[in-house]
Amino acid sequence: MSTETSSAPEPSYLAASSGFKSWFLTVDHKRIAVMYLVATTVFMIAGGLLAGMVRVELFTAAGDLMDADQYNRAFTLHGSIMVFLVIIPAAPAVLGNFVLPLMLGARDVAFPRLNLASFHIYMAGATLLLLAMILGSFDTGWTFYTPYSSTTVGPVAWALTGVFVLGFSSILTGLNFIVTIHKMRPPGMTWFRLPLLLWSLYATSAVQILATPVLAITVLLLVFERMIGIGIFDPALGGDPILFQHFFWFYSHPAVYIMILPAFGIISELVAVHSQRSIFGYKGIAFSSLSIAIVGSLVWGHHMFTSGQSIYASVLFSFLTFFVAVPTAIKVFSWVATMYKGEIQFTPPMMYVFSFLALFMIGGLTGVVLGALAIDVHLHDTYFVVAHFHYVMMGGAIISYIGGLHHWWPKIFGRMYPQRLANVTSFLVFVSFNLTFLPMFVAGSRGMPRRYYEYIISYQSLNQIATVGAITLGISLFVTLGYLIYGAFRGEPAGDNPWNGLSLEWTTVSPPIEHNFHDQPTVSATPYDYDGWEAEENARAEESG
Amino acid sequence: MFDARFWMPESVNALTQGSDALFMFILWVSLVSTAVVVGAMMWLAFRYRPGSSASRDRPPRDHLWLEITWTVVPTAILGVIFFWGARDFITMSVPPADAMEIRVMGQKWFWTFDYPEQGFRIQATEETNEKNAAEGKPVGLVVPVDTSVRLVGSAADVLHSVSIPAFRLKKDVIPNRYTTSTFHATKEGEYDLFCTEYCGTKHSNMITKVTVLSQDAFAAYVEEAQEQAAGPVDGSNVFASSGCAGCHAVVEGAPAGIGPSLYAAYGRDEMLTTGETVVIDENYIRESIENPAAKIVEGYGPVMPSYAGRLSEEEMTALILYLRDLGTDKEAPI
Repeated sequence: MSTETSSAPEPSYLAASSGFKSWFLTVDHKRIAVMYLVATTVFMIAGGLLAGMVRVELFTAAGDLMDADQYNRAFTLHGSIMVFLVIIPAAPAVLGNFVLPLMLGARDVAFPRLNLASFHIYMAGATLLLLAMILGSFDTGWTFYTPYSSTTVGPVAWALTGVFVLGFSSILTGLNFIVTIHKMRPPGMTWFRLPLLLWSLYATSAVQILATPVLAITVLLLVFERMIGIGIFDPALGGDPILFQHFFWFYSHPAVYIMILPAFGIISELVAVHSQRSIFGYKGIAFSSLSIAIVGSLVWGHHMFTSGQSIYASVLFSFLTFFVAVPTAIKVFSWVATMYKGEIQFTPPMMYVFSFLALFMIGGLTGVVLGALAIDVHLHDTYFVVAHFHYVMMGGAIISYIGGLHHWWPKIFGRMYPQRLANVTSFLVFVSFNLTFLPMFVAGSRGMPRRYYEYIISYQSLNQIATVGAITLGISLFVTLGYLIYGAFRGEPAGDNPWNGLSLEWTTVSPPIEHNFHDQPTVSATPYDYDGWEAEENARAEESG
Repeated sequence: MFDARFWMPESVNALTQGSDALFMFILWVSLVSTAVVVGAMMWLAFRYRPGSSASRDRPPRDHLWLEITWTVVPTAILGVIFFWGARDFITMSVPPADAMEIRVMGQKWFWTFDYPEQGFRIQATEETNEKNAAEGKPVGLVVPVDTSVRLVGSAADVLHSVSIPAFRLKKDVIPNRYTTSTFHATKEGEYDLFCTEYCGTKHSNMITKVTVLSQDAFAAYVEEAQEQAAGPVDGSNVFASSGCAGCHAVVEGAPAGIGPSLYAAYGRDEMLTTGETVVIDENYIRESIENPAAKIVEGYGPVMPSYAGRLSEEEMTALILYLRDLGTDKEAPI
C-alpha cells in the first residue's frame, strides 16, 4: 500500500520549521494535535495527582492529611480538570485532529485557522480554570450544583467562565470535523467506506455542537447569579435549584457520550487492524454511534431520580436510558466477533483493546444497575456511582485513548516505544485499575456516600485496597508516560506502516510531511478490506454497472 | 458475593423488599454476559494467535441473524429490568394512606425532625448524637417498628439528601419545595442516616442514626419528649440541638471554627468586615441569629443561614442568656 518511503526528500511536519512561533501560530492540524497532546497530558498529570491526594486522605476513616475544605477543593479540581480539560478534549482534539485529515487523505481540516483558534480558546479556558485554582480554589464539585455554588465563597465565577470559554473550543472543533468529513472525503470514499473512527467523531461532533451551548448558557446564568444577584437557581433569590440540574445534565449527560464515542471509534480501528481482518458489522457499529448520540441526548433525567422530580418523569427517563444500552451492546459484540478468523496481534494497542472490553463491560453493566429505578435510589450519590463512572470514563475513554496513542504514536513521531515494556505495563494498568475501583462498588452498595472527607469505620478496609490500587495505577501510568516520551525521541524508527493498517494515514510517511500526501489518494473499499474481497466485489459491480 | 448481604446491609423496609432481588438478578445477568464476552475474547485471541493452524477462510463481515439475536436478546432482558425497577420504584415512592408524618429538615450540618402529630422536635447534631448515645437514649430519627412513615423533607440553606441504606431510601431535600419519601420499618435497631448531597465543609459529619423502637417503647419515648417540650427551656440545649456548635466554639482557647468563638464574647468590642466595630450585646446576638449576614465579624464569611422563625421566643431568650453567661461565673454546664 505504501507509495512513499521514509527517505522522501520532503521534511516531516515536525522538522519542517522550528521556533516558538512555528508552533504557536501553526495551522497544521498535526502540530495542533501535538500541542493538545502536551497540554492534556500536563492536565492529566495534575488531575491524577489530585486524585492521589484524595485517595491517600481516604486511606483512613478519619480526616488526617488535609482539612475538610482542602479535601473538598481537591476532589472538585480533580473532577473539573479531568472532565473539562482532559477527557472531553483528549480523544477528539489529540487523536481526532491528528488522524482525521490523514484518514481522509486530506491536506488539513476544512478550517485550519479555526482549528488553531480552538486550541488557543482551549488554553484560555484552561488558564481561567487554573487561575481559579490559584485564587483560592473552589469547592463546588465539578457539577456546580446550586444553591451551594451560588453561595459558597471562592472564585467560582472564574472557574465557570473557564468552563464557558472551553465550551467554544469544543463547539468549534466539532464544527470543523463535521464540515471536514462532509466536504473533504477523497474520491471513492462513500459514507460506508468511512473509517469507523470518523463515524464516531462525526457523532461526537454533533453532540458537541448541539449540547455545549446549553452548558455555556447555564454557567453564564450562574455567573450572573453570583456577580449581580439575579435569581435563576438560588431559592433565596426566587430561583429554582432543580432547573439548574436539568440544564446541567442536559449537557453533561451527552458530554458522557462526547467522552465515550471517540473511544468506540478508536476501539473499532484498533480491533480490526490488530486482528488483521475486516470489522464485523460495519453498519451496525456506524449506526449505533449515531443512535447513541441521539438517544443519549434524551436521558439526562436519570441523574435526578432522587432529586424530587416527578416519579413519572423518572420512569420515562429510566425507560429511555435502557435504550442506550442496546446499541452499546451491539458494538461490544461486533468487536469481539471481529476477532473471529483474524490473525490476533499481541501488540500494545491490542492489549488496550482487551483491557477496554473487560473494563467497559463492567462499566456498562453497572450502568444498567443504576438505570433500574428502584436500585438507583439506594445507589445514587454513593461510591457505586463513583466506581461506575470511573469504569466508563477511565476504563472506557482514557484506556482506549491510551490504546489509540500506542496505535498512532509511530505515525505521530515516526518512532516506536519499547513494545514488550508497553505490554507488561498495560497489564499492570489493568490490574491496578480494578484494584482501585472494584472495592468502590462494594463500599457504595453498602451505603458509603461520595464526596465524604471522613467516613464510618466499617468502610475503611475497602478504601485501603482502593488507595493501594490507586498508587499502583499512578506508578503504572507514569511508566507509560516515560516510555512513550522515550519512544518519541529515542525509539527505533517505526516505518510507515508498522501495524499493516489499511486506512489512508498508513499510506504516507511517518511522521507525515507537512502536506500529508504527495498525491491525492483514492479509495475503493472500507479500510478493513484485509482479504481484498470487497475491492474485488466493487470492481465487479462497476464493470457490470 | 453471590449473596445480597455481601453487597448491602439487611433491608428492613417493607416497601423496598423487591429491590435486592432485582440487584442480584442484574448482577447475575452481568456476570454471565461478562463471562461470555470476556471468555469469547480470550478464546478467540488464543485460537487465532499468530501461527495457529485455525482456518481463516473468508472471515464474515456481517451475519444478519447473529446481529438480530444480539440486539433482541439484550433488549428483552433490559425490558424486564426496566419494568421491575419501575414497578418497585413506584411501590417505594407512594406513601401508604395511614402513614405517620415526620418532617425532616436539612441544614448545614445537622438534621431536624419534626413530629407534627405528636408535637415535638428532635435535632440531630453531632453533639446531641453523642450525648444521646452516651446516655443510652435513642439517637437521631426515632420511629416505631411496623408503622408506615411519610418523610416530608425541606432544606434551610443548600441541597441535602436523606440517605438510609438499610431502608434503601434516598431523597434530596431542597430549599424551595417539599420532597416526600416513605418507609415501613420491619425490625427494631439502629441504622445509619447519611447526607448524600454534597453540602460543604462538614458534609461528611452530617450523619446520624435512625432508631427503630418497638411500638410501646416509641409511645413512652413520645410521652417523655412531649413532657420535655412542655418544660422550661435550657439555653445550652438549644445551642447543642440547633447546630450552633458545628461552627462556634464555646470553651476557652478553642481553635477558631467556621464562625467566631462565642466564649466570653458578651460585652466585647468586635471588628466587622465593614471596618466598623460593634459591642456584642443581646440585640447584636439576636440580630446575628435572625439575620446573620447583616454584621459579619472580620475574618469570617457570610455562610451562616438565618434562624429567623426557627426558634420560639422562649428558645431565643434562653439561648441569648446562655451565650451571655459563657465565660463568666454564671456559665451553664454543657
